[in-house]
Amino acid sequence: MSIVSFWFFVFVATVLLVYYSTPFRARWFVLLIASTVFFYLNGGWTLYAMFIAQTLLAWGGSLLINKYESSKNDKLKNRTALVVIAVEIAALVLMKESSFFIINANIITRLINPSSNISYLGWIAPLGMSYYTLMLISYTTNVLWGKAESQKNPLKLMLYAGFFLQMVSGPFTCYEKISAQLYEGHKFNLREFQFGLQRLLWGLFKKLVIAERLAIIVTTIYDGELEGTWTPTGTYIIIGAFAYVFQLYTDFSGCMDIVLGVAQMFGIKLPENFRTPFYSTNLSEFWRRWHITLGLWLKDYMMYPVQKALTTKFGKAAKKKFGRVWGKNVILYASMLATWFGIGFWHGGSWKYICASGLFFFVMIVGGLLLEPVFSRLTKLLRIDTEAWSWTLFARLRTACLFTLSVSFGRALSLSDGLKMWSRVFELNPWIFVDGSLYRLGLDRLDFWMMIFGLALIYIISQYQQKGSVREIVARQNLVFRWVLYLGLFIAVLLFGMYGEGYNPADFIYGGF
Amino acid sequence: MTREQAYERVNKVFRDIFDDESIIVIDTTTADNIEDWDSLEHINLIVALEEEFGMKFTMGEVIGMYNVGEAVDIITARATR
Repeated sequence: MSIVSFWFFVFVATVLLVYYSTPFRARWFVLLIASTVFFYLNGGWTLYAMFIAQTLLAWGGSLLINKYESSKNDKLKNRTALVVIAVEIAALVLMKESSFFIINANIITRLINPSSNISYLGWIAPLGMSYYTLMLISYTTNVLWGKAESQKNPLKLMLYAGFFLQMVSGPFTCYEKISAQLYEGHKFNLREFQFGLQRLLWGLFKKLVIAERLAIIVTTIYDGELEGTWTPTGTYIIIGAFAYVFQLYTDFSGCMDIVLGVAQMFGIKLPENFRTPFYSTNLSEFWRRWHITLGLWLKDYMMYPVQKALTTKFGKAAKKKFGRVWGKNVILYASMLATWFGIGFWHGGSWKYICASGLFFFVMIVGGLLLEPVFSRLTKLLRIDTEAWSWTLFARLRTACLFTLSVSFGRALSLSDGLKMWSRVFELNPWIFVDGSLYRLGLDRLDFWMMIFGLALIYIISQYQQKGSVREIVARQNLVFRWVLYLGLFIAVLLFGMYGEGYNPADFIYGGF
Repeated sequence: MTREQAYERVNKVFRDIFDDESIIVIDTTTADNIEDWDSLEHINLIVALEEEFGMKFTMGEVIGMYNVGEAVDIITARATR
């Protein structure tokens, strides 16, 4: 059940109705039942059993950790956590990314024996597995680190890990920060409900009016090449890449608006996953504003532990060998390498993602750190005012272009296909902007300009978002203006949204990760 | 160890790590107040504090340390134990 389908909204409306008519104490249970139904509708009982098994493992593990904590048995406590985390990771990798290892194992074994062939497992991962597994790991780790109390009730833990709204594309939540909100029943609050509904509408606009149109252009350019019907060159490749990055943004952030909006209608505030990322002036900042909760997860559970372990173990030796500054940097870069590898791998078990969504950023960010002295000397030499508005604009465009380049590889079939495509970018054909070729990418004139208009609207809204909550600003306006705006948006989604009979909205891109 | 004594040494570590003799930390100092204190420098700071005070922070403390006051709380609590 897609979250932009009619039946999803029937489902949400039913759950809302039941939620607010159930006594406070039992409201969390309504969410649990809803999540169970959602799991069943999206994958059936067998896959749900996998989710239950993984949750029970974390539940039992955390109780054991507590037991060893009170008997001061640190060794067994750590070992328990290690086993739980290892099994959770193994389950995720086996179900989702086994083909990565099989492909690479095949490459190696064929060097020795050309006829050898390990066949694929072909297992299907349960809905939201990439999300709930990482959340269970963070829960277990936080219990180990004494940051979270363990949850005695396994059903409550199932709600934390498997809350249906988060199973499509996140966001990741921390148990100790979200649990109270999930378990306490919320009183109906009209303002929160309206704000949630508005956000839901905005998300639908992003997904159905903009992302679905961009998807058509992207499909024409990228899949035309795959099917061998045409070979895009020059400007088409640039258009394809930018269309894809804007599709990714409107698709994923639109999905988050729907998820966070619906959650707000239940009185639950899930953490933000985006903060106008295209306003970032460098790539590290970009990743602090794009898929925020994944970045935070990796920082807390991957980068810091690796960096701390390395610094404690090799810090002194590294300082002695490379000097004070470089000793520190070598360890930092090693832990960043591990983290970016993790980000790439999480996006999908293939070298395409590992390179384009991971290592590319590692190279760019570490390269930026290494060349920082050169850049700052250069800007001084050329007397560039880095405080100027024009410089900020340049830095934002540069960051957006680098990000666009990297994600375009994610859309290509493989790393080598992506490279092949970009190698044709210099076959110039700028006249496609004026000879009507743009209207032959799958969208007619009206649809094309509607998409441009939608993107322009996102830009305007983003400008306001820089200053604060847009919904707060709208709420301060007079009644007529507000309702014209809400109804306008609603009608725009109904009339211009790409959905309904004979049209199947594309799946959310991040649902596939 | 009193808080004042702890602060004197914490301040020294901050100046050393961020190479800035003008730093004066207080309870509410966070990463926002010190230009170079970002996620990349956080662990270096933590390990330098561990070395200075001869103690180990748990990972839970490491990721939960948002301001200097919290660090000093942990340090003084552990020193008196």
